[in-house]
Amino acid sequence: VTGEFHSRLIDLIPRLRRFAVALTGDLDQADDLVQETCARALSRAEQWQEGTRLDSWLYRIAQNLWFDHVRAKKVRGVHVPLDLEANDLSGADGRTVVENRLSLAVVNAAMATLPEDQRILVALVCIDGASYKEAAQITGVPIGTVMSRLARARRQLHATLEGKATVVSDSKLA
Amino acid sequence: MIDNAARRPISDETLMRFADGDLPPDAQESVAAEIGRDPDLARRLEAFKFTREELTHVFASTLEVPPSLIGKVHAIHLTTQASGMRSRSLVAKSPLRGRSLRHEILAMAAAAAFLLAGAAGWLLRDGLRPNHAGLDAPLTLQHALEQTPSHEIARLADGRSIEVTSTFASLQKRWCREYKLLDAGRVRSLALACRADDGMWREETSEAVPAASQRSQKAYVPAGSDQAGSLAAYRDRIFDRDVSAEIELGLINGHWSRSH
Repeated sequence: VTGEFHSRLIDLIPRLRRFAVALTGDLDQADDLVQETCARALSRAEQWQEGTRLDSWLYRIAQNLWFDHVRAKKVRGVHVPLDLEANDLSGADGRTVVENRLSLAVVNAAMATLPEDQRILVALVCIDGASYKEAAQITGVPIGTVMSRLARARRQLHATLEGKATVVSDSKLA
Repeated sequence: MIDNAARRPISDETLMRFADGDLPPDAQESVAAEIGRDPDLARRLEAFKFTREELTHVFASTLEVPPSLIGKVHAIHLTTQASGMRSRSLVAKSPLRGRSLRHEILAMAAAAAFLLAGAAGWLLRDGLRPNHAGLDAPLTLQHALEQTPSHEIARLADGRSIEVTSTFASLQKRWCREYKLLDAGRVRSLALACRADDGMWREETSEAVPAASQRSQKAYVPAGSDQAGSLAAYRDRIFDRDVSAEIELGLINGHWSRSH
């Protein structure tokens, strides 16, 4: 493995982690997935073709590892405890952090209601900013299907999250 | 509008492409005009604007990678290199299938620590032990050191901030930066970091700036030595030449790739 490959891999870890959180809905599982993705990428660096996108290659690896995991467990991939009212918002310190985490938890919970194949598209397009074409290449799904699945997923997320966002902003005012 | 009946209705996919800026310019314009005329379209568009803007915002916090995770990936790299280990054996003990890899990787990280120390050995040769023995600076600090011009203040994720006070080239052919760490409006410490060949900034030395009433607790500094002088002395030992503001800007824009 060349130093340059390793260095580029390290540079991509923040985005890979964000993608992994969106996919798994859980910070610990996301960090495990990042580690495992990097381990696989480092040991198979020769399979990556210079001139192609390293980020897309890593996302494909992460996606495959996660889908394998979900299939192996035969459970839904995401376990997110969501009990909005139980969250203590009154802590004097680190208020912003509390609210950020709450928002992430709420969004992850909404994401968890989506099928895996829709959630990965949301992660790629809405969160990572990939084009539909890139998302189609990474997931191996035709671009027309990408667009229809993505539109459905986004409608559902919006319907679920609209109310929750209000709760969060209300708590700020309290 | 009456003539709407003659038009094809605008699909959700088209609205989504509009929100994502994916339509050709003329279509983008005509859809914008339709949306301006039709409140129902504007309402449907909201789902697509919301999911892009809100999710980007909410997930931004997950870009803050714990330094320990970066350390583990470094360790995997070093161990893979050192032993020729294939990841097949790692993946067989996937952390996603059991928790064993987490422990294994921690052990690997420990085993690889001497390799890391070895890689950073040049940091230590002056005998002035760096606080973190050449470990990478946390990620937001990496960003700040990579992108902030001297005399500008950059905020870190934890609410503290840094101000870079100088940039220079070292005798070891590295780019180095001195900076102040500020917390709650007060300078807490001074530090010096240099950029290694792998693109990571590593803190080489730092010293606390004690409040007037408190003495620094640094065990490795001999009693009576001049606190404010040790960082400066270290700098003098590795200093080669100053970097002008203009060159610094070029370095920042060019990801510090210019050779010495």
